[in-house]
Amino acid sequence: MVTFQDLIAKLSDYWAKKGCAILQPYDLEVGAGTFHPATFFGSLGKDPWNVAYVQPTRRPTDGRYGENPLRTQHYYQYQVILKPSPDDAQDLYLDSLRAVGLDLKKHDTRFVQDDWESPTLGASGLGWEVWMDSLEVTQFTYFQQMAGFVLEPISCEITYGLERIAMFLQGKNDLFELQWSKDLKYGELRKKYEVEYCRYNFEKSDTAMLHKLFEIYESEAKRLLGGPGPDPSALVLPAYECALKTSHVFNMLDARGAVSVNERPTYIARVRNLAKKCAQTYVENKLEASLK
Amino acid sequence: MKKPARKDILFEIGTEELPATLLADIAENPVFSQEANKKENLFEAKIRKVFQDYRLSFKESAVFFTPRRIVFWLKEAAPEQSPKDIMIKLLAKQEAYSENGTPTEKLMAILKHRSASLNDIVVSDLNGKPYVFIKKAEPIKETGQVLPEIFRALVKSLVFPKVMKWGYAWEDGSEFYFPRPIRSFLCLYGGKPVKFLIAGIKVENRISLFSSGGRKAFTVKHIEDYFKLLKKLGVILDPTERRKEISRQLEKLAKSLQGKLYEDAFLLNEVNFLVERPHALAASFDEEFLKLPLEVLTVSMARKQRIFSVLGKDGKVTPRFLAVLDGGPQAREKKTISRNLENILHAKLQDSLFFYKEDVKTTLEAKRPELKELVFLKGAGSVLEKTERLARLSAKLADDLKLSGEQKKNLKKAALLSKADLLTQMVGEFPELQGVMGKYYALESGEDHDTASAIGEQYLPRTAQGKLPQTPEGALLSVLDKIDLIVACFGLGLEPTSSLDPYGLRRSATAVVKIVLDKKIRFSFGDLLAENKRELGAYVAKEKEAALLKKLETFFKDRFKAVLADRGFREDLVEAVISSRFDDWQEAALRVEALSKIVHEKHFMEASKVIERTVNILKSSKESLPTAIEPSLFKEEVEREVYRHFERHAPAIRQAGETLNYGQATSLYAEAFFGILGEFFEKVFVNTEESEVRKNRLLLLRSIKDLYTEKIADLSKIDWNNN
Repeated sequence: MVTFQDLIAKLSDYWAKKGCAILQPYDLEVGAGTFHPATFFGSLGKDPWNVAYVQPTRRPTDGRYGENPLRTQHYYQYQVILKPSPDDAQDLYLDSLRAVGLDLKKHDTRFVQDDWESPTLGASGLGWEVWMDSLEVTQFTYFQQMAGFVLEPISCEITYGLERIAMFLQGKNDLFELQWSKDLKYGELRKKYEVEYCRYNFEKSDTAMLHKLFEIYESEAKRLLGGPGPDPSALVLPAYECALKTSHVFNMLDARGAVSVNERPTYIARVRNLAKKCAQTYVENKLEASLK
Repeated sequence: MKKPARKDILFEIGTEELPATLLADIAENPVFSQEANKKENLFEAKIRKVFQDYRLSFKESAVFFTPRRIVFWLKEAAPEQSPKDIMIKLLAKQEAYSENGTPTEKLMAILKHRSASLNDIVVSDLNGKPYVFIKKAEPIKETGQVLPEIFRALVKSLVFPKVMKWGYAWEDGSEFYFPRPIRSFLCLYGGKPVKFLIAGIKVENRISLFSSGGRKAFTVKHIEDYFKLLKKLGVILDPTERRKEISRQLEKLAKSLQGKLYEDAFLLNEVNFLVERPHALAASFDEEFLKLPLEVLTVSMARKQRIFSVLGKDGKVTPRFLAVLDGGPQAREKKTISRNLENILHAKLQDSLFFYKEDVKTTLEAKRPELKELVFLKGAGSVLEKTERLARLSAKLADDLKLSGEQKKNLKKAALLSKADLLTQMVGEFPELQGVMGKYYALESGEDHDTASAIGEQYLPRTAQGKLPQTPEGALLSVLDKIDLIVACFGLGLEPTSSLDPYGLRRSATAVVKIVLDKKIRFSFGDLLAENKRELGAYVAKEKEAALLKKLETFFKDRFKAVLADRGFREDLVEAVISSRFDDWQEAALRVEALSKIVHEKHFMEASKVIERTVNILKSSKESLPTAIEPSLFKEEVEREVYRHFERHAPAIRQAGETLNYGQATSLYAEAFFGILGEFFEKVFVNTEESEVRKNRLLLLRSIKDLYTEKIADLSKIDWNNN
């Protein structure tokens, strides 16, 4: 039995052997591993960059009160960034599935087109949803743009849905039934969170406060970035955290249905503008060299 | 010396999985090429063009494609390039030769500079003037030599709507894009591999195959081996053949389940480019989900898992589905895969059920006010306002069409609720279910059945050949919805250009014409358009009403002509009919139909002759004519006779027209005027110097012309070469 924790360990082991630095999750609420600075900033710039990490991910609107076997408002992604994208990127990925114990002969594995886009990050790329027996288990993307910058070289982002892969490994139909460790089930660890957070996200969160928080984090990000143009004395990394906060607050508002259809694009643009300015300042201030 | 033989060429671009919809688009939209004298798809056109550019002939070409390879096969290609002369213009002849015919110094200098001699030059006319040219044969290369250039050019020439880069920029510095990364090239010429580089990627004689979740490489020596190997591995290269095979497998399985396949051409096309080794299998799902509407089940299956629904003999969805796998797994593995497919479908349908339950917690009526947040068109208010506008227009239309009170009420309600489903979770998840969900949710909200059906039919037809609305309320709502969009767009200056139609206005207008004709809806479109423009008020105030209506009329006339031409009616005849009157389209179509039946008859030709002659003579006169014919101004007996004919026959002709007996009106018209007008034109000189007499005669002729052209058709538009 490959437990959930074994899966993480095996993936880390595999990608470490392939030359990736194994990083840790980012300690903020994010909607995807792409928001981790290791991907957002890491995909900018010319130097090779190969990292992998687990990223707990929050998507308030995906919550189903723990009643759907495949959808939750909180789950775990395993994120790999390979820059430049190697010629055998797909093969490396398939090998990683074998390395964690999947017998690919027993499954219908398919790369189904997906033109990936993150409007809040101003990012886009082309690639696939990787399907295993028609379930999306991985997002595989060749980034083309990040924060509005046309990238060169191109990074390849591989984002595993850990629960779904574990379901295939363990032959379970419900992610809450997964063995996290030999003695502990995923549901025992996470179900209570799922139910409480769904109630909070959908029913109880304070929308007036969230509206205020959005403004607070936005103005804090702006203050730290200085400007109007890229500011040499800007504090890019804390500013980026504030931008991430606005993104999560926006998602929380969305879950409450507190963002009207008309306002949506405006909110998304406000987050994107912060993210863009962070990236611009990062590039302008040549932070790539000093960060490593 | 024996001429070298013609040999086949094979070129494969091996890629990571190309987008299925992209390939389906290319396969499904071949364009007729004059040069090739057949329909060809993008790939076929490119290969023909590139070979032409490089002067290499072949007997036949075939292009195959799967998600992972694009294959060009040129059969019996020439062993070398075809000869071609190039002409380099040097000088005008008079500058090149002196009067006595000796070459000038200037010419000799140029020849020296170009390392050519007098033997290389010819004199030829250019725009009527003689010039001196160097005539040189292009070097002729052997096929094997020229293939690298050809395929480099081919790969570069393949342009796609969405492309990407990968890895590092190319070492040769060239910008190179493709829809997904290219991982291999193969080129075989006869029995030999041709090796070269394209954008830093090796062209060699290897192909890769995706099998059992991994890639395997194979080396191929001959073209025959290539096809044999792929066949042995189960790959069907030809998309047409592959689709047939997929259909065959699916239908067979559906039959074995005592059902029939739910037809979904779009899904089939997509699946065709998701696999290269199709293998269908059947599985089932929980009956509890049959509670969901058919459309939700089929869309969820198609969109989320690319699987096919199976209908029972009664046309209802059965709890079964069919999937197409890539490659044929072992029986035991098949079981695992189908169980997984079932579990995943279960989770997806559970989600749809969740949406459904959430959505029906409030009625459409209760959701409706939120439509004020939804923009209809930028600058034309909210969707809520649109629904109110549609409701008011529907009331007017209902009165014009004398609908029953019940119908009027249902139509108005349908208009008000028509867009409320845009606010539901289900439509958020599956946008293509707009309207369809509106219908189900209207029923759940306790609305009248006819109201619900009208909401469900408002977006019909969904495709060019799609089903039209069937209920009267649905037809009218669909017409109103589309006309409102068209009037608003034109009013905002968003009308389509020759190449761009982002709001799909042509498609919408065509749909309106089809619905009006098929449902035999009779009313004044001029009035409706004007009313709709008034309803849009300030939003479209920039456009003057008359100018806007004129533009709209032209726009709809073009669609009307296209629809009738599509139904086999002659374009000149349609033109003649709508040049006369174009307000009640249903009635205009009746005129076209009636005249089509008699277009070869004597009376039709005679009536046309009358109109042609009167039109011609009236054309030459620009003066304004009096309002009434004055019999005392007639001078000749024959013109009095023409007038008497007019007085005597006009009422019957008018009446035949008004009672839609256009054939009869035409024969009456011909009988009344053809003979007598012949005599008239022989004996009477219309354009006499006496102004009063002349004007009176012209007025008589105009009255006769108008009697027909203003009511039935302007037959001067008939193309007699076509008759």
